[in-house]
Amino acid sequence: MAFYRSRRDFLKRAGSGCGVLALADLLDSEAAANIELQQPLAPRKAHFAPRATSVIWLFMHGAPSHIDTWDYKPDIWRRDGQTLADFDQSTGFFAGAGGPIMKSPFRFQRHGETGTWGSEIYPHLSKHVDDMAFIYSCFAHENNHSPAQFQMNTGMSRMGFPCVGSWVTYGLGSENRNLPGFMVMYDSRGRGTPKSRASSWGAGFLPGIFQGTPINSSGPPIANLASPHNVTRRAQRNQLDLINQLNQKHIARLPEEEVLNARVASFELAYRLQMAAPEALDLSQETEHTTKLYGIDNPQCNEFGKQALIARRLVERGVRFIQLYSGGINNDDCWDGHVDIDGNHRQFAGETDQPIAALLTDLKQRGLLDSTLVVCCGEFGRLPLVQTGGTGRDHNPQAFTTWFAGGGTLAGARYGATDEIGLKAVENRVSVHDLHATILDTLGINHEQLTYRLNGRDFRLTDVAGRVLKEILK
Amino acid sequence: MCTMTNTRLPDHPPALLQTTAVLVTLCTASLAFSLTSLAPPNLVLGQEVSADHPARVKRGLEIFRTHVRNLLLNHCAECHGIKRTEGGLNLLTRDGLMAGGDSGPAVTLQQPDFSLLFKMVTHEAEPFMPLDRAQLSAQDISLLHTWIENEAPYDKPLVKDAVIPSKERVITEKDRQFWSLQKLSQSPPPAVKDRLWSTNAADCFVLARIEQDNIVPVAPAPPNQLVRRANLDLLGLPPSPEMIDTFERDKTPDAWEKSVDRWLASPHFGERWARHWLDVARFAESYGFEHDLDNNHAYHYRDFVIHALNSNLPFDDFVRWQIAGDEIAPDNAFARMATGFLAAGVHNANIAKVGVEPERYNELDDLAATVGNAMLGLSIGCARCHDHKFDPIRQQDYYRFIATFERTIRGELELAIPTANGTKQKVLVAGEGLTPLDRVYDPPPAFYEETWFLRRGDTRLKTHKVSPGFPEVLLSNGSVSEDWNQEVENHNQGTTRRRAALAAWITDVEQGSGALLARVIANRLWQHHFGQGIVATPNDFGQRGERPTHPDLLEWLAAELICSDWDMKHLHRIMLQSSTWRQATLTLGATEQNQRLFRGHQLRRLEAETIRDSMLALSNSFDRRMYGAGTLVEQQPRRSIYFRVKRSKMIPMMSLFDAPDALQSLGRRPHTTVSPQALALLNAQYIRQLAAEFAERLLTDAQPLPQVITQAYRETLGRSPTTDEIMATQEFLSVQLQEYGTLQQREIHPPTTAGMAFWLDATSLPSDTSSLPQWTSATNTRTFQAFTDQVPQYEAQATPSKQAAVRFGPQPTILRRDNDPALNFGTSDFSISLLFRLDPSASDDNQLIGKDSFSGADSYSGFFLQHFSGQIRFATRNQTPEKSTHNYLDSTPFVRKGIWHRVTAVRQDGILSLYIEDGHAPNGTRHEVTPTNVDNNVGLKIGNMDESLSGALHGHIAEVMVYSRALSPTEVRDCHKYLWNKYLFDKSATPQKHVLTDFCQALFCLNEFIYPQ
Repeated sequence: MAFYRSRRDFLKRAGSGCGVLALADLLDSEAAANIELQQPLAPRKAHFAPRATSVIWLFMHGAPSHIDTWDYKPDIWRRDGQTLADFDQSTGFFAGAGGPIMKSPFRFQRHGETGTWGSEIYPHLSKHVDDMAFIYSCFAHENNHSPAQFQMNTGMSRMGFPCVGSWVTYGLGSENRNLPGFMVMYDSRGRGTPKSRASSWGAGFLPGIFQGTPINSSGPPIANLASPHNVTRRAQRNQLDLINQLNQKHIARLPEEEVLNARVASFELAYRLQMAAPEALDLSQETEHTTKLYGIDNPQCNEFGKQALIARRLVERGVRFIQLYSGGINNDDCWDGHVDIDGNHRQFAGETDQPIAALLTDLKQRGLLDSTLVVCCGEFGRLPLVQTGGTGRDHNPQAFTTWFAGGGTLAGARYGATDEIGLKAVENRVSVHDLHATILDTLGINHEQLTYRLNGRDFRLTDVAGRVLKEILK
Repeated sequence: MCTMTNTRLPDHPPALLQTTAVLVTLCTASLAFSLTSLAPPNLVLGQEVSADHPARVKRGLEIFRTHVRNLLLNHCAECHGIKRTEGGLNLLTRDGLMAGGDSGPAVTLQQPDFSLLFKMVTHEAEPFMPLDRAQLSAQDISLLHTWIENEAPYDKPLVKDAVIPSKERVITEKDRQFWSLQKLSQSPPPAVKDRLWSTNAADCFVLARIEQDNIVPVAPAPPNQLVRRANLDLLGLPPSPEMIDTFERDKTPDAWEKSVDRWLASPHFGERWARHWLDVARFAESYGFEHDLDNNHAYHYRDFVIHALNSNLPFDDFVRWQIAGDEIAPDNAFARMATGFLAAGVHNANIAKVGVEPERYNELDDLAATVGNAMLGLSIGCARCHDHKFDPIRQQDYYRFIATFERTIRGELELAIPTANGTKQKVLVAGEGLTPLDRVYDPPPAFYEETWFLRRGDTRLKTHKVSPGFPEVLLSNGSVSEDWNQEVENHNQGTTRRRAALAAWITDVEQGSGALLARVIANRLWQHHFGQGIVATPNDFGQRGERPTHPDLLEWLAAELICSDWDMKHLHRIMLQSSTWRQATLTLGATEQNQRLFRGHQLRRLEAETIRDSMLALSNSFDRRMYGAGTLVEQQPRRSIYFRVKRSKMIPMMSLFDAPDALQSLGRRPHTTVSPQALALLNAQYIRQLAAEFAERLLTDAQPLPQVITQAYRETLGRSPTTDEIMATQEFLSVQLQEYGTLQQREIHPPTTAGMAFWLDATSLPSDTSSLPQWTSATNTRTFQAFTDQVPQYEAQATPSKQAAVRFGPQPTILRRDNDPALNFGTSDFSISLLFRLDPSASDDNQLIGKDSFSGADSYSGFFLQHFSGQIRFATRNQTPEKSTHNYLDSTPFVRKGIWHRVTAVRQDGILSLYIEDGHAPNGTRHEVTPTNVDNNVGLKIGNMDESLSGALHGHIAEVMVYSRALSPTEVRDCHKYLWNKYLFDKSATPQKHVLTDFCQALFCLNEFIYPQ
């Protein structure tokens, strides 16, 4: 790797845009401290050859029940109605509301050559189990949504830390110079943001440019994308030409200030972004076959279907990290089935099953699945007990299921296990840090070496922990 | 004495177990000897051991050599002996194993199932081991089991030369000798070759270093650049051309000194510099997390900071009050407001019982980390889980430090606010004995009466209680933390005075950390004036931070500060008056070396607030009022420091230009350069509007065109344009004129009338108000009656295009229409489009239009469109005595009082949408929970929903269009365009103004505008 003598030297090269910077340069102690990145989104080389170049993260917001989706536990039928004697009532969010064991309302059956158990609420997705790598033994530390979502997105259960997408964009930059490197789509049915709100895509202490760009579900998809009304495109081009002309005179007086050139370039990029973003989001370019595949003709899943399809279009255009949220901010509006697991999960599986299955099909047939890591998880799992007062389940940070597909993960891998009723992850337990370490690994990033120095400390996405789950990687 | 057996004893009664354990401890005490000598005796100290003891030890040793040794080395030893001694357990030797750790013995010999170590690796006891790693294999677990069963012997330590490290780091003299932790050392300003260059002593330090490299400083910047630079640096606003002229004409020798004094005396100085401190103080007005609850009284802290800086409150008091204003000066409202510093961190109110205690420790951690970083430049927070890895701060120091805040909680007090003419207002403060703020669920304890030392920062791993204290490395001359407790006089009975002691220690130059405090703040001032600190890491003066480039200069500045009784403006004056500050920008060779030498002025981007405030100051809507509650409306006319800081709704333009997220102390903002910033400057409606206002002002102030251009340059860039620039600008203006040639022939296309149910068009009303309240609407002739005694006033020429509008308020005024079959929408679609303007003195809550009843009717259903705090709310609701169902959709904040706004609300298939201004819908849609019946159980009302004063519209409505169907987005856009063209398009505006707006906006975009020289 090239070695830069000084921060400024580094900056000059970063700013000149000649060639690809290596991520390692960012980690040089001086450069890491540097926060005045002039072209922070310039692509950078990974630590080692990446398996995946993009990530699509499907965040099932509100926390799906692992034992009602993928983690089949016959014992909850056998022991349905039995009281769990030594259950710690402080496990869920509502202390003391843990009733007896409750069986799943859904039928389970085996699917694919791997014979993977899956619940009936995933008729489409269950056809893809042989392409998926399941981790049945995930656990979290927090038993309420926003801290757990902070943890899932940033590794820490407090606010103020950068999201995985921000770390990745900080480490690798963006392949598409006309589009943001980290884009987020949240509920487009008007049910609001995730519970952790804009922090769900925040850059924490990293420079703000590394935060996710949310795509608005209506109106201009990205803030300030449309020219002011009554300024024509040509008028704006003239205006930009004037800005450039005057800036060039200024630069001629201060020829060594690289940042001035970088800023001129940022205006040109902005001008191009106005064209590139609407093009990327324009689904009218897709065939009817494709839009039907994603269920865009089906009112139950059309919104998530559109977003899943946009995700694929963004991957094609080199966007590095895309996150999709299923469900909005209120309990009833997301996977948070406290009262009625049957109704709640049928609804949200119905909204997402066909679109996610279509995404896997579509990525695969376009040859993009190998280089695109698809991640699907919630922020924790749910208890195998009924929550008293209804037919739902309370939060369970001790166990949940995450699945990966593509991006160099091992198709058909099955890792870890919960106990016989799915209360706790017991075999090969996988922490959130482990998930993060694994995601970074697929992108060619050593999670122990991706650091940012703040107030005297080198921060990492994985804090002081994290293990790459080699077992589920090719 | 019972006999040892080698069978497992799962059903041992407790008493027997205990006896066994004692015996085991006794008999293994000598195992070390027996193993090293490899001659296992049968009898030890006269105690009987079982006959097969030697055989078992032999078996155990065999397992150890073949498996367990590697197992311990691979999975355990790194954290338990080699790198660390987590949990106090060192597994490198058998002595360490047997001594156990903080949680007690690691093994119970012969009884693996009762051994803590075994329980942890089998995940029977927490924390599960190996921590955050995969569980050991079944085979490994079984081998460990057998090994413990067989006396858990070692043949030799796991690593050569293993020693059990001391559990606690000892603070050494060497630690105290670290540069930032020493006492102040003053050396006189060094001798320099060029004796004429220096203005003051600070210059000598800088010059001496420059001369070492055999180079010379840079010549002074031209006067106009100096004035612009200083105005932006000290006030955060661009100077007027007159200010520049005055300074350029002033030839008196102390012209610069006088100017610096004038800037420092400006009230805008505090508004500018408070922002720097607010970054450091991670100031916000909401608590973060899921609910991000607001505190409406938190802004008083911001006002305290502004006022303190303007009134030049000595820095030691500034610090003391923020830490312990309630204990030190309980009767001083400012001192109380200052404690908002402690209350400004995040706080999670929505937590389950089990989370309450960890959350309290998180809050205390926020205080320790923020006080550490902000005041002392030390990352004290890093010692939460272990001794600090780099700096001499022990975990013990950390817990003693947070114990200082043990009983400190947030609360609200009613105070006579000096910045609000002494009116009584609620203030968010911190202190002891306050009534805790309401929480979401059952109020958990607001604090705990004792502070524990937590292993790994985990509340489940409490070790011992701690008493308050300060980091030992910052206690000089053998003093102890308690010394400061004695010195503090307690004015505020009923507090522990712990924070007062901290305040005394932190400002104590002789024996406490006052020297460090002075260094850290002097460096912060230097950084903001010169673009880079003498220490480049302003929040980290520790091992991992940068070393000072000019250590003697920093010492001298710190001493100046202390000797002047912590006079902050004295330091500002030294820096601003220095020749160093007045150097010109380097045009060539702007290298990092020059930056480190402070040779030449360093080009740097303005901060987010200054960019916005500069544009605002150039427009004609700048509102200079100081203090008071802030707002989330991006288009608000006051300075950016008066934005409300809500953690989940940071002002987009501020974040875009790197304003902090207010979660952790930030000493130095990043300066990114990215295309979304350019998009905002080119396309954001607000910036366009500021440019238009600037253009308008220029056109009124100056004529003809070349003069206008010159004036525009002088106001934005502080200089006259060159001939080239004038030519380029004139050419641009003429090209744009062609582009916009047809601007004046603006056609007004009336909106669609398909499905129109009601149309109130002010321009078609009779201008004679005496014919009111029997109004008729434009499309149909049904009467529309004023409902209260107050009659809305017809106002001709109310809008920018001199069109009429109807004026409501200030008394409640309602126009009402009942039982109109056209307005019976039932549960089907409808749309409302309207143009309104709130009076500048309107309240923050105004009803616009609706079919709703706020007067307590038991049953009704309908909709309303309301303004509150800058947002528009579109709601449908269904109220029965049993149940009420509300569906709310809130826009993003955009409403500015005194400005015309267009808004359209649409219900289609039970989905609510809101379109604003150009017809975009920035905040998504909302599904109705159940279809809401909007029939004629309530009439259509404009101006208010009932006769109460609160919520009454105080402002204008020019036009209302109601449709019994959903307008499409294109129709909405057309409708808004119609409203614009008819009411808002300024017919008197010449194309000249339009193209001048383009030019003014281009000036806002220039590098020179946001990179002052």
